[in-house]
Parts: sequence; structure tokens; C-alpha cells
Amino acid sequence: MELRNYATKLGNISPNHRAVVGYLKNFGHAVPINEEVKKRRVELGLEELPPTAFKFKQEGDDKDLKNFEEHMFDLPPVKEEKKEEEET
Amino acid sequence: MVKENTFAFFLGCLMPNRYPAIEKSTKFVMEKLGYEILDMERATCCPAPGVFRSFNKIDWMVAAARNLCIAEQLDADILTVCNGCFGTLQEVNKHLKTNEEHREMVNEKLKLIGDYEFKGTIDVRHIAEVLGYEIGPWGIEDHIVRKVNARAAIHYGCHFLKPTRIREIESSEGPTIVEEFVEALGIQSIQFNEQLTCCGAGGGVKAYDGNASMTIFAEKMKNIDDVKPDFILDICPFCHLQYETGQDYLNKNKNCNYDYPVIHLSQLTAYCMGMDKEFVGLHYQLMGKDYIFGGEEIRKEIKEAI
Repeated sequence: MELRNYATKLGNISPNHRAVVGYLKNFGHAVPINEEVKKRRVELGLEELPPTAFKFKQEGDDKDLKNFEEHMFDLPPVKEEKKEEEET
Repeated sequence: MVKENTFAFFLGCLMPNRYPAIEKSTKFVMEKLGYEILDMERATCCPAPGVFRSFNKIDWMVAAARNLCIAEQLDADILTVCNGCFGTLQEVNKHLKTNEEHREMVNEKLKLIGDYEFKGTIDVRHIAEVLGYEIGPWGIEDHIVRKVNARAAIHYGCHFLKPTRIREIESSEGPTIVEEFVEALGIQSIQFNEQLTCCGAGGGVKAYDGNASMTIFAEKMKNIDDVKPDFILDICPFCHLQYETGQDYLNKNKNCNYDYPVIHLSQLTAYCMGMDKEFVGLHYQLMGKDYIFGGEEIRKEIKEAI
């Protein structure tokens, strides 16, 4: 686990995993809701949005997710791909 | 002391955002059994153990502790229906209760993200363990209105029982908790090869490498298909997603023709306790849309009262 944490610190993280971190910061969820599921929730008699941090963000109270953005899972920038040497 | 017969309901991500029928079913079951279910307002992803812990273990603990603090403020134990959420929340809760150094470190960082302080006053429970041990097959008999006459391939997944030294539920090598509970609902558990292995979704594999995930899953499905169950029964929305989307992928890309309904323990229990099939939500799912539960009504007088 320490090695994986260290690799992340060096920027060795896949684009897909980087995207999941973005979802957490933007939506509070690793899997965000979509329009189809919102509709299903209502059909089932549930609230359109579950009462998680994202719902509060939608209602204008985004302090939870702003704090996540600012303080949590700070990833190094994407590494530039190594250029191939023109001649060996 | 936490409130009795009350749970702070931790939703996680996949249940509310992909399979809300599992959420509906869980509320139905727990309320019919006499529990009060409390919303955990402002909760986030647990966060998932396979991905977020591997990025930054301290931040993983801080985000989990924030969720635990929300339940502490409600003075109620957490109820989850997801193995990943259980894995993260139960593990961090236990760890911070005993590791003072990490508790102080986590509490320092929690101050940056809101009015939170981890105190260690609650426990984290999985619905399979609550139904299996607290209600038990002996207790559910009084609450069911129908039994389902079916053969099921039961999938435990990984984080519910492993690591056993932390979970302390039962052996991960030969578990029977789910089999014994669902037998009271009329289910015959069908054993299959490599039954207790991963479905291929967890550990960050599905997000990172879909092909590797499907290679693992294809083997799993072959073993299940060998025993031809009526449906696949799981206790985790992420495994549920894998069995749903995985069958669809194999049908479209690997010349398979699978259509096994995928049913979470909450959905099955809710149906047997009298919830309408419409709310079980199989028609929203990819597989087994038209599956009809077999079985029998057993307590019409109770059903009429629902």
C-alpha cells in the first residue's frame, strides 16, 4: 500500500483513476448520478437526489465539496509523455 | 451509547446512483423489521478502498472518518449494503478507535473540511450480517409473506468477510451466513467452482483495466453457468453492477448468451416481506427483466395488512 501511495505521489496514476478522484471532488461520489436514475428514483418513491453532499451542492451549498477540492487527494500534475529520441 | 434499533443509513455511490431499487428495498426491509433508518446528510463516497486508499491512505481515512462523524452526530450505528463501503468504514472505524496517533492526525485534517471530530462512538454494520445474525433465519419467518422457490448462485464478494481478523464475522473460506438466512426465504444455494473469488470489479481493476476485469468475470460466469441457477444473489451493489454489465459485455463481445437475473439480498428479502415486484426493480436492470419469482404466498393475512 505504501508503494502504491508513493507511486501516486510521483504522478504514476492512470488517467481512469485520476478521473475517479475528479468525480469524488465534483460530485462527492466515485459514480455520479445521471438523469435516467434520477427518474427511476422518483418512480420508486425516493427523492430525486439522495441526501448526500452533491444534493447540497445542487441547492447552492457547496462548502463540503469545495473543502474536498482544496484539501483532499491532491494529485501531482499529469506527466508529459517522454519524447522518442530521433536517433539512437 | 447509540440509539437502539436505529441505523444511520450509509448510501455509498452505486446504490443511490445506479440501483435505487436496492435502496428502496433496504428501507422497506429495515422499517418492516422495526428499525428506524436515518438519512446521513452530506455523506460522500466511503471512499472506495480499492482506489482511494491506494492513492493516499491518510486522506482515505480522513474522508471515511468524516462519514463516520456524520453517524456519530446522529448517535447511531451505520448500516451499509455494500461490501466496499463496509470494508472502508468498518476498517477505518476500528483502526481509529485503537490507533491514537492516526486518530489525532485524522482529526487535525478533519478540521480543514468542516466541523468534525472522530470520537469512536459507533459501529459499522453490513445488512447481510444484521439479517443473518441479528434477525436470523429463525426471526425472519415471522415477517415473510411469501417464499421464493428458486436455486441461487450466491456471491459473497470480497470485503464482507475479508480480512477476517478485522471483519470478525465468520470464516471467509466456508461462509454459510447468507445461505442459512435465504433458506428461510425458500432459496436453495447452488455451489459452483471458485465461488468465493472476486467478481473482477474491486481493487480498482474495473476502473483501471476493463479488459482484465472482464477476463476475471468471464471465468466467474462460466462457473456459474455450469450450475444453471435461477438467479445470482449478491450482497454488494458493485458486484451487482459487475454481474449486470459483465453479462451484457460478454453477450455482445464474446458470443455468450447470458440472461441471469442479478438480485441483491435486500431486494429478495423485501419481496418475501411483501414489497411489490415493481419496487424490486428488475425491469430497470439489464439482465432477467422478465424474471418471475416462483414460490408461494404463505401469510395472506399479513400481506393484506401491508
